[in-house]
Amino acid sequence: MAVRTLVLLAEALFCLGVYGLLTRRHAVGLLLSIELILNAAALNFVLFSRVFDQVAAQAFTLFIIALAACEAVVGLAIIIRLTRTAQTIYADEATVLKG
Amino acid sequence: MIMPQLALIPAFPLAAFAILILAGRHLGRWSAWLAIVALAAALGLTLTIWHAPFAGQPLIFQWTWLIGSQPWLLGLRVDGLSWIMLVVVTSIGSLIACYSTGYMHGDPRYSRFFAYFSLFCAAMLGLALADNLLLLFICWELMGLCSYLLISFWFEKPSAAAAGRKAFLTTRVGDVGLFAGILCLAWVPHGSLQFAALPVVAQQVATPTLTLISLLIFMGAVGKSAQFPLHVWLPDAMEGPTPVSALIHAATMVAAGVYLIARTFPLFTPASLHVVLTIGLITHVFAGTIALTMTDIKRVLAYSTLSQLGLMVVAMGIGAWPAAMFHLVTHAYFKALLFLAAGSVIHATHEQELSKLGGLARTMPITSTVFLIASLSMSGLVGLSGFWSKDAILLAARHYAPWLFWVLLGGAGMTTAYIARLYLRCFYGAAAPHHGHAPHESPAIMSLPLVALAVGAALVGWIGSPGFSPFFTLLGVHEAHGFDLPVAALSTLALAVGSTVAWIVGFRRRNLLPAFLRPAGLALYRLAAHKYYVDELYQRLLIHPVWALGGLLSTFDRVVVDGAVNGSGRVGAWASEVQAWIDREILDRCVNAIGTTTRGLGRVMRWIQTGMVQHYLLMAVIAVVVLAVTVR
Amino acid sequence: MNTAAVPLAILSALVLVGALWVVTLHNLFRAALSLGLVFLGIAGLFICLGAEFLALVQLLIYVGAILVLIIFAIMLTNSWQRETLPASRQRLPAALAALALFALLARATWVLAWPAQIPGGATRLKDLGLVLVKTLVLPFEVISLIFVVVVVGAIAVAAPRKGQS
Repeated sequence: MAVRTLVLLAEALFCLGVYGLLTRRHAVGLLLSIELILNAAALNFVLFSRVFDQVAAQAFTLFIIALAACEAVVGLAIIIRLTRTAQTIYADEATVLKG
Repeated sequence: MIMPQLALIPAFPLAAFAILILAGRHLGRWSAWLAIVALAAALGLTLTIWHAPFAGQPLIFQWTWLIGSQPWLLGLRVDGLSWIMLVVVTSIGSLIACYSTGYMHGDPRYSRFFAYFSLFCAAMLGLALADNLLLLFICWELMGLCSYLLISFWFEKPSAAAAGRKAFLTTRVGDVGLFAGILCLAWVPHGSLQFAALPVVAQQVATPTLTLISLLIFMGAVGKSAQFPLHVWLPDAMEGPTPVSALIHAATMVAAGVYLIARTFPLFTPASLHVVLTIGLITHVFAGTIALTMTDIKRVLAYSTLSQLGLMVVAMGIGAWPAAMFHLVTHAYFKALLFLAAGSVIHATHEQELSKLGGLARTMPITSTVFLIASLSMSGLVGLSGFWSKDAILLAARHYAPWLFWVLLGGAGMTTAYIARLYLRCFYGAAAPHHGHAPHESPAIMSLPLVALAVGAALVGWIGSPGFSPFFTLLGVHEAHGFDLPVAALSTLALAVGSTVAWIVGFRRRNLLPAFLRPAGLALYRLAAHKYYVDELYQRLLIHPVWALGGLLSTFDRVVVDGAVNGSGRVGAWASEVQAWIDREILDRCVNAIGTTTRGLGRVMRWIQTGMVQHYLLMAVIAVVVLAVTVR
Repeated sequence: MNTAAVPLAILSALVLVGALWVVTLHNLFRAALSLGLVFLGIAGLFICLGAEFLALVQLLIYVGAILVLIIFAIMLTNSWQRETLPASRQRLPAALAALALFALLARATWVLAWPAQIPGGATRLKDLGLVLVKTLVLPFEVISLIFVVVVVGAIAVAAPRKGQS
């Protein structure tokens, strides 16, 4: 029961992150959503490390936290760049990719 | 005895070359010291293995190069002969490298010079160490390359660039012969390229074949050692920096030809030895007479080198190869010293024309003294190095044929005459007027190697003197020749006559000839001063015909080949007109239709591409859902 | 429902509500604070699962560093925000897609046979450290390399080019 609900919680967290990624217009909002997704993964890793008794999974959680830090730094750098080149902070107004 | 450390001997200078060519720019004046240290290390290593050559047991290091039905072995081998060459090259090389730090000071390509210098030393050491003709040939060609690079080192000077080209092309003529000889030796039945196997080869191969092979190999030696008729490159090679002239074009590389003959001596048949003797004798006399008339210091020394190399080849021709090698060693020391001293003069006065020099004995005492020692050694003053080696050759010549003895004695007198003339006119007499600064003694870094070489030039001959002759023990020759008083007396007489003539005719400028002989003497002088018109002869007989042939071919090119090309071009142009019509009317329309269709499709597809990342992401999520639902 | 499940349920509710706020709140600053709430909830869950060290790291790195960085970013870009911001035009399709994704994942995991209870006991920190420096030493080193790349890359991306201020 408990394991199953926690898996569902992680999935819900992931899908909320995806929803935020799709709807947030502000670039920093995208960063927040990505953090949600990463946290969902981290939660899953810790849960499974307990369930399957694998310490290595917790090590991967550490890696995820480290990568999240990296991602936040690079994301912030990209946002600063975006405000300079596209003169906007809104993700849907930066349409350089338009065909 | 197997000894892999042998590979280190050439590896030191080779490593110095690699470092200098890659990073020389950043090393600055340290690049010189790198080269010197590498050479000194090679010298030290050579000296530490002295016991094996003296004991008569060779040191060997071999590896397989190509694998076939019969594997090709490459290898290094040190016996007495090659050990002597190693000592000569490394000792003279490191002294000259020291000297060069002073001579080349301030040159824009300073480190490049030492890179080439190290590469040359590596190649020369490899040549001395090679245990077979193939490796020897590889190093031989490497030396040729270094010689070319160093002669045309100041390539901004057109004459230096031309001299480099001339040296490269002329020696190439000899190298073709050497290569053909190596090929023949490899392909004849029972042939082998290993030096150790040559005596056996000589017994099994038919004499005419052997004569052919040995003459082809001798051709290589003629090119490298600048023997007549391929001697023309050496005097021009004096365009290079003087230390290069000393090391490469006097002491070591040009002696490689003589070394080659000594190495392959078992292959030489009596017939080919006759040819060797003839060529050597012609070169000895002919270059000696030219040296008498030259007025440029370095050119006098260059022709003197030719003449001395001729003397060594003569000794080879009469079968006295140990004597030839002995003269090679002593010559290396005193000729290197002569060149370095001449370089010191040029460095101090920036002048190398004899007419503009004089009285330098007062301002340059060290240079003057060492020059005198080297000159006396070369002339064969009793007790100095040159005396012992020349004496050995004269003795061998007397055993061979009396006439040859007298000719060589005359040659010895001539040697004394030209070197005494050079010395007197350069260091005595009235001091020539100098523009700019007064000449001064060279710095210590240049004069110390001079003094060290002077000691060598004076004393090195004692290793081969009668009664005490480790030199001949090294070469495995045991019948030491005795001290022959008449020969010594006659050569001293030749020295006296030669120097007297030089004093009267060369220095005091008195014409000794009776009046009726003067026109003939003048003609002879002109002939020698123009180097017997050999260059002009080559120009007329070889270069002009080649140019004419080139002109002929170019005409053929223009008329026949170009005509054919133009004709086919016209046909091609007509054909392409037709093709262009087909292209325009049929192909283009098809292509345009395809393009229009694609553009229409693109317009339809374009609305999906909003450029917004979130739209793409939404599509990706939907795609994941759809795929997950449908695919399972 | 036993007593151990009570904190688990509270924390789960905290995480869910916080996450919902993160993606729906109009004010970005509040959304960022809600993210802090989520981080706290996750850290609590880690403790319940016996991973105290990870909970500590979660608090230190996520709340202490990443959240601060994000709030800093929001303040930095404040001048670019407009007061009246129309909501995204693709909210409805996005909600549908996310729900479909959730349904898919839930259906896939619900049918699996899970152990009834979470095994008790805590992870020994020593084991975790040994795994990090033994079996996973290569990824561990790669992570440090990635740090360097990230720092250099972030500077390169964010630094003003010539002609820009």
